[in-house]
Amino acid sequence: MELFLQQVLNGLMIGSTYAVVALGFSLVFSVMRVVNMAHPEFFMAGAFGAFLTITYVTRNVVGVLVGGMAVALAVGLVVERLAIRPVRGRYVMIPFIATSGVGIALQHGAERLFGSDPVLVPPVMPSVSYSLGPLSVTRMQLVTLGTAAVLMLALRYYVRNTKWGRATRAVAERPDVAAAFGVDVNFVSRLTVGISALMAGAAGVTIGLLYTSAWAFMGLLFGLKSFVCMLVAGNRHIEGVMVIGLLLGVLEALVSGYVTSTLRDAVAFGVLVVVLVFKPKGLFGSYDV
Amino acid sequence: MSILLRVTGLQVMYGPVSAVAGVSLEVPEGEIRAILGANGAGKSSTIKAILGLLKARAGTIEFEGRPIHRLPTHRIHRLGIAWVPEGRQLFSTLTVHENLEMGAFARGNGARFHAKLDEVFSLFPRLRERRAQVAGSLSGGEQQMLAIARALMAEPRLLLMDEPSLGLAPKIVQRLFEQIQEINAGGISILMVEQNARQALKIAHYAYLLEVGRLVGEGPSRELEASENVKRVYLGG
Amino acid sequence: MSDLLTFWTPVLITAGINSIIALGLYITMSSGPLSVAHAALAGMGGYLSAVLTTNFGWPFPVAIVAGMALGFLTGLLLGLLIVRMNELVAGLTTLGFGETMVVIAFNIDYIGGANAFTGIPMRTSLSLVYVVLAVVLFAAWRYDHSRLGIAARATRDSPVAAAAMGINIVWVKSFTFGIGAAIAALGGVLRAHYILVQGPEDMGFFISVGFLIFVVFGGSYTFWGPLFGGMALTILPELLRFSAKDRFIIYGVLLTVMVIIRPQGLITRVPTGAVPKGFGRRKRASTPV
Repeated sequence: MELFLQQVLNGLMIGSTYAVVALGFSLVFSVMRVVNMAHPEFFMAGAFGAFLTITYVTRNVVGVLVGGMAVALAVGLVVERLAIRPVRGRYVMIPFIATSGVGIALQHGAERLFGSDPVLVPPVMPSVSYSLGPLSVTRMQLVTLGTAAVLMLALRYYVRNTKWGRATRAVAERPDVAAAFGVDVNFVSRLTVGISALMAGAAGVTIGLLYTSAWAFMGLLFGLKSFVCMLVAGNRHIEGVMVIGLLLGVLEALVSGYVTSTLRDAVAFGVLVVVLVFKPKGLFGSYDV
Repeated sequence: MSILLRVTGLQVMYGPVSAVAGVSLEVPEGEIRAILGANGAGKSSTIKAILGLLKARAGTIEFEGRPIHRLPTHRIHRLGIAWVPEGRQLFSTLTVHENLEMGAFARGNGARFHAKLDEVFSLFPRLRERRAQVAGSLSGGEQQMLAIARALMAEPRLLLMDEPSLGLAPKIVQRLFEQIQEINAGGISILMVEQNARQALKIAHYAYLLEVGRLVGEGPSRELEASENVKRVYLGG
Repeated sequence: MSDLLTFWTPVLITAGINSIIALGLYITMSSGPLSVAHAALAGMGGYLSAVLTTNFGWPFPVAIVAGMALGFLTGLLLGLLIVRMNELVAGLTTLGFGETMVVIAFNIDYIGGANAFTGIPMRTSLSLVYVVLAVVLFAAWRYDHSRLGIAARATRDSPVAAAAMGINIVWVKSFTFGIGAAIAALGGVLRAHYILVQGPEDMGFFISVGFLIFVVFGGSYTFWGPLFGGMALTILPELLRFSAKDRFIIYGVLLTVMVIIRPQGLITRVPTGAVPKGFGRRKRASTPV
């Protein structure tokens, strides 16, 4: 029983980061009809940003988060300008290919800069563990979960309750009409990609700190699983993507703990195939492309 | 009386085809003017070109004396032009209230917003009842009211209305056009595109006749209503 | 003179193999779906042939056929799976498939697991590659003018119209996927028996995107496109002495730039000057009334 609960807890940690990355990806897709294949690179940029911040600036965890997110945001804005803005609104595979190209260039660029081997990210928290009854969780894991929770709640609040969140939803539905009521759609595009980059970057920082490593290709697997979350959940409700992300993390942890850890990475794709065969529009619906 | 909107020699292409070929029109301050014509006549394209949603191949568009045909849509709106699109085009996943908030996007959310909201609800009381409902769940007539209300929230000087009667029952259309007159009486100039020429001519001061992208006639509504030609082509005999 | 040949032979062999796989991708994409699974399909062919020749002593020609058969069946199934999905979800599914194959290959020790399958007998020669390439080109030419090829392009350009004309879309899409996959597998077999090592990394998303760029860059309208793309993009980097890492950065940038500026690729005219019909036009801003 304790093993089970511990695995569930660990799974929620990772799952919360899947959810955060998936939300950013899903946001850009819903608002701009663009599949940003470079999104995992925002995640990777966050981790390297954390590394750079720790090395040159500060070891304070908040500072590291800010530094990592800033690097991810910068990368995001560049990608938006070069590979998203010029192709927004075109036949959907074109942004898919364009952002794939930028993503690959970024990955290999990072490899050039930092080398092909993972870079050590020094820990910034004492490895203190807390016990919740029979379960234990480290401080870093709590920071990961906490950051993810804050980001998800902030996004939800932004989308539902703020003027620009409303404008973003309007642009997602009818960009022409939104523009006709004074919304600068180019700005919303930058804003949305920027938010997605900040979120993915934050997730990258926490994962980089949790596993004490940053690697040019770390975005790939994480990104793919987050894409799977979006596909399985459908993009109609952001809560759906959050839930699926958490569930995926838990499912992976359980498979890893009870069956075999080598198949962990295949869980996501297995689920994807099964769900898509029965519900091609995702569990909770949408994808109007 | 000053000319609020002046369009001269407008040409809009859709690929190799001319959607609008050399149309000129004016909307003096305080008037309701109508653009009449069948489907495909180029009426909506004219409206969209005024808004900057379609690029003009040639011609000029001036609002309050300023050329606006090179401006991006969101800036054109902020000069004081609001749109009631064809087919309503509400933000269907947003509530009635949120749609109205989007209408006032360029204006801000302060005290003026609430005052304007009250005004709009007095004009369309049914919307107040449905305020928290998602716009997609409203009936056809209510959606049209919301589309107009949304545009009014922008406190425009000029309202561009594209086929307001589309898909509505005749009794509702009648009441709707009375409301449009009330809006005009409140000081807002209106350029309306309509297939329902009969109703449009009843409330418009002046109208333009469009056929396949070209202007084929214009004049004060009384004259047009009396013209045999117009009666035959646009009013069904 | 023989020095020149020694240097260029490996490059030419690789270029030929890349063109073969690119042609397979071209055929798959001719009916619509964008696939980033072709590296995995090639790898599967390579693995099967390697095992059959090394462990069971099967003759090479039989192993080739076996590899192609595996490719065809897998492609057929994959095609069936994605036939009802919208293009985007389909593309992401091929991505998932490819990555799942990588994970599976990593975990099956029988075929070498993470250490790859080694000891494959050398069977590929320069002349073999170019004979096969010529055969595949001939097949592609016949395909383009065959009823299936025309039906495939009709399905890609307008599925609704194609169905109305009596074309069985499900069959066309899956069958072309299968054929394209078989050709990719053929390329994979040749590759495995040249490099003598078959590993999981060769099946991943990047490598698939590499083939995609051969088609996107070279031209997706006629079979001359992938031929040109495969040859040019394999030989040019050698000519310019780019290292492997830089090559991918360039591929990425090239992919993004090409798809934004000229999505139909460089070669759109058949050398006789005819222009085949195709797709890829910019979407219009709005419809007229």
